Amino acid sequence: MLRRVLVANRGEIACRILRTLRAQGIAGVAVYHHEDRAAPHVRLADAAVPLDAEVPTAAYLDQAQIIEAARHAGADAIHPGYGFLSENAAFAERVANAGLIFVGPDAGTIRLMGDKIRAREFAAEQGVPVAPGILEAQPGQLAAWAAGVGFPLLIKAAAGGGGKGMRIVRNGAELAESLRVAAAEAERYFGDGRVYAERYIEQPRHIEVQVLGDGQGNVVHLFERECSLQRRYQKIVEESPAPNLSPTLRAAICGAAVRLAQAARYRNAGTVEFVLAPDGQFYFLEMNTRLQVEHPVTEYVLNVDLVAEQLRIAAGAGLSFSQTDLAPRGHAIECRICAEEPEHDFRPATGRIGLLRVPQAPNLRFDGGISPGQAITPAFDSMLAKLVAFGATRAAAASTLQQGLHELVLLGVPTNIDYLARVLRHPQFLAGQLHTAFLVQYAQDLLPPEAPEQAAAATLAALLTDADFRHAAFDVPEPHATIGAWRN
Amino acid sequence: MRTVQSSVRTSSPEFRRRYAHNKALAQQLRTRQEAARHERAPRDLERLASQGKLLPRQRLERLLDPGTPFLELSTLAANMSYGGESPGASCITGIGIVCGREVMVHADDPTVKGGAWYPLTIKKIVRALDVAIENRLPVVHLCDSAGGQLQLQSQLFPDRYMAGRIFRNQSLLSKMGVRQLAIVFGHCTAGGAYVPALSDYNVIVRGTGAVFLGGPPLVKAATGEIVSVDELGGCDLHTRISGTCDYPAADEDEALAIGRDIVAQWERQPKWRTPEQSSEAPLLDPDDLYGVIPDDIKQTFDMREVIGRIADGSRFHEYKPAYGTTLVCGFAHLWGYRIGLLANNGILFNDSAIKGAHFIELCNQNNTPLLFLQNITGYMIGREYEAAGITKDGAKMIMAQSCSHVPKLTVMCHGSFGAGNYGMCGRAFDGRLLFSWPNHQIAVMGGEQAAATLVEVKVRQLQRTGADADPAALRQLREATLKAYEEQTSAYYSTSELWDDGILDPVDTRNALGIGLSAALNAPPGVPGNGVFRF
Amino acid sequence: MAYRLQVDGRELEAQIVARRPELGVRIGTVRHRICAQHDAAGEFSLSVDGVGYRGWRCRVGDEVHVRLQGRTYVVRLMGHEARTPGAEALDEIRASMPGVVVAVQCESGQAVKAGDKLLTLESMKLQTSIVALRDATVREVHVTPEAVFERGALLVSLVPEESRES
Repeated sequence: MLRRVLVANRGEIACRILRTLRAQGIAGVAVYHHEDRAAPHVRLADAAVPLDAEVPTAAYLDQAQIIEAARHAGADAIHPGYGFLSENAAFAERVANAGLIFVGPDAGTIRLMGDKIRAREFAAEQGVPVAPGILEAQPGQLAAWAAGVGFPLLIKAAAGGGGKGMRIVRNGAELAESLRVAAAEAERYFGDGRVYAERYIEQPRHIEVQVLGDGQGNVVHLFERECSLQRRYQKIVEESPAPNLSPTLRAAICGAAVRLAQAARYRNAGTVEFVLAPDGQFYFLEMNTRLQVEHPVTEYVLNVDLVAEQLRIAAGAGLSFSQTDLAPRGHAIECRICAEEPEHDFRPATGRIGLLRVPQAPNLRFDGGISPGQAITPAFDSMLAKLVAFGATRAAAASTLQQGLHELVLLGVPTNIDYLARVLRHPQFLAGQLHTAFLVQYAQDLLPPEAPEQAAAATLAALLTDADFRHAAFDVPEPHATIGAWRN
Repeated sequence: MRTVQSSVRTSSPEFRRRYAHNKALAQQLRTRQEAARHERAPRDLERLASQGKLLPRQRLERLLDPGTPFLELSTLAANMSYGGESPGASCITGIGIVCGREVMVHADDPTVKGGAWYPLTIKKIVRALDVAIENRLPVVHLCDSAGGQLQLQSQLFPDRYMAGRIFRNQSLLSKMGVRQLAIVFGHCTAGGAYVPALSDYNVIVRGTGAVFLGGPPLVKAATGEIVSVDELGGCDLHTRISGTCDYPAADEDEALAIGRDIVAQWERQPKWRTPEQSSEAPLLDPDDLYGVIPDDIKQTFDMREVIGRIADGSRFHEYKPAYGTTLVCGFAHLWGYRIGLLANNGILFNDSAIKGAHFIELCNQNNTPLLFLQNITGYMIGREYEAAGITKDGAKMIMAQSCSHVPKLTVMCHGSFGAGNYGMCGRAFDGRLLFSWPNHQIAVMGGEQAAATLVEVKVRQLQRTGADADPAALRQLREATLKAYEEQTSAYYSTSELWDDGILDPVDTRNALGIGLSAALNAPPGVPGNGVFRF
Repeated sequence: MAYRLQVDGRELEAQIVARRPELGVRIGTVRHRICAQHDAAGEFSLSVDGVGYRGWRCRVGDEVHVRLQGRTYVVRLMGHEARTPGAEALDEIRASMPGVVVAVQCESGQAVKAGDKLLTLESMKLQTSIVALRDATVREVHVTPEAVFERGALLVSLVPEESRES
């Protein structure tokens, strides 16, 4: 068993990991940048180590400081969460070299899956279907290939991932320019200008499979998640199981994921992401060698604690269940609550958490990393929290989640809470007719309805907080207040 | 208290005739007020607009709390003077609410001859400040005036209650701890410069506001110095260098916002009295007043009909109902405040005079403000009454009334002739506010009576010298007298000369008195005590 | 004076029109009757035009965030700010006391923002910075480094960005 784990992350995931550590009786160590000194994850930990950096995100990317903090705090392991250093192979290596346990796969696997071109090749070798594509293209080759495969194409960065560094090309005329721009962007953002092209599937569904491996070649899958509802290539509503998926297709997709992970002798948690075309064909997209944001929906339908499993595997205790032990029941849906303005193209918003009231209900889970008074700045990612609901049926889960969003009070910074509620009410969502362009297709439907009486009531509620207004309304003496607007 | 029982029959021909007559008078009042308030030469309005200025009434509306009343005083001042050149006497005064506080507002009217002060302008401003002093009302000045009307200087400069009295009153208000704010929208020249200087706080608008003892023309004439308005006394000079002005404002809206914020800092005045109970509208319909008031100055009416249409719930406790019946006395509530009323139901006799004196003393004993409703042609005269001491009894009423330490309010409901005016708290007796109805007439005696008296005096004079009375001359004397009296006894003449604080539409009386009474109760009462009553 | 507001980005004016028997407020062109009950800790209840609302609200600076009936609104209270630049703004910057120019940090034709340093002066052994009070363009700098100036001397002339409403 691990004794003391340093969580190299912040926000909701750091809080979530620290909660499992506490439940397991393992000491938790937090790291934080000065701007995060009052953040909840710092208070949840048994010990907290400050990180020094000029820019807040740099602190959580500072490998040397983090490893030093772990050593200094006497930690025997580091859990990287998601984002930041979680898929940084060099970091995983350094952690191991420092004599600490990295809660995740080994550096080699991270490196393999981190290179999208190599990962794709590897998947193909395992018989996992991949989208028609071309790698390491020379412009001349690419044009010819594109003519053969047909448009539209998706150009992706080899070192990218998580929806970043992608461009859609719809015709031959755009191709050369798009390649050039994509390569330049890839160089700039990922330090690696390699790009590849794939056939772009219109209106695909994004289906991913959670896997756990013990590093010895034993891998189980924890079934699939549907993550098709995305804006700016980022998921905002995820669920498990995927609706309207035939058992055969489910088995095929999950089987493919297991095959891939087994071939890599995968250790710890990972997610294999696929694109499911309307014609029922599915193709490998990428593998994320870390815990994902949307893992709670899997936890709900299988009644497991994935972080606890990660810690077990990291401690060398292997998997605690076999594939036949896993029988999903019910349905879980999650939505990501972000500080943004959906009506202004989802642009990120800033502010301060003025009021936070989290609804308490059975089958409702709120994973947040925020506390009242906290400043929401552009320094960090705009996701504030996740709200997850479980139900015996998909409709029950959707209803519980809607109710939760209705009752959630998070005021002081604009959020997408109302927008998410409208998504969950949309008839096509309720019918399970999902694809990655869903939010764009139904953008009009998802606009907030005009509610002038409500807006007036909100305006008046706001005015009544103003001392000047209250004086003007209530402190006019008699008889003047009763006489009102009279002139002789 | 009992509810006043009305004996008015709204379908009677007399009621309907009176109703039509008084309704027309009220309509005429509104028309004349509208004209005095709003009719201006387009040239004057354009000039203001080109200077980027708001109209004075726009400034007023933005100053006052929205949804609150404004009791404007003496709207028709100077309506029969200066050939009508000075509507409203070139200024606006009145009691309103700013940030929940009762204030007296004085606003110059630059749409009338650049806001220049006429003699009656000064009288109106002095009166407004007197009201502020007597009632401890904070004052807001909205300054925008070209200065005194030089052609009329002998009527506005040298005497005791002329221009200097404004500044003396301002100083006294400050000494009393009653706040003043001045907002300088335009020029404050010569004496006018003292208005912002003597105010506790002032705001000045950049570009149009200016404060100087002598303007550029005067300066050039006096010393040869050539200097612009702004350099001589503009916003930046006074807010940055001389310190004469406290707050600079970029425009008039900002100046008004700053002014309101200043008033919001003032502590709220404790009142001498607060309402004893919640207010209640009268049960009897005030609209009936049009049919109650006679259309002939010589006719009377039952003042209880008026009381029942002013008092809360139409409830009235009549004092000494069987004695001195030509003077109705009693207690009522007005907007929740207890008041003592004296109202004329005929001429004053010995018994009504001493009943009045006694009741006034009771109200002073009870710390109850007094309301006088006048309709008086005089005291009874004649040998019998003199022998019974009517003069002494009238004197006692005047003594008690003059020595009252409680606040007094007066409404001239119909006639106010001769000595009856005195006992019933006419202008000379420092009532906090005095209003008239459009049908009101005031004179030392009625026109007919005066003409007859003058003719009689003339005839006796001619008889003594042995000359013959020329009938034509006598007729001319009679008609000239009648004409002069007709002009000078009307409510419009009275209000023009500021012998009252404004003419009210009778149905507005309750609101006006409520606001006036509330204002009056900001000041503690005077020192109790009477002089010697000649018994 | 009216209250200027921004509700979800739309500009509105609100005005109190009556206080008895209920509070009456006009928002834009529509008049509303309000019966308010102030609750504690961010929760409120309110009746508007006979309809009851319960919700949550919190004030962050000049913004009030209100959540009722499952929707969140942001109301910005704009106060009674002058629509034209503040009363402080001057287009000619003059010396308030004699001194010497230590450094010139702007030049003619340069666009400056409110708060940008224009000059550093020294008087009475104290250095002060002259900053632009509002967004403007520098028309002319009238002094050079090491220049000695008297009180009232013209230092910098500016042309303001926005034109003033009259």
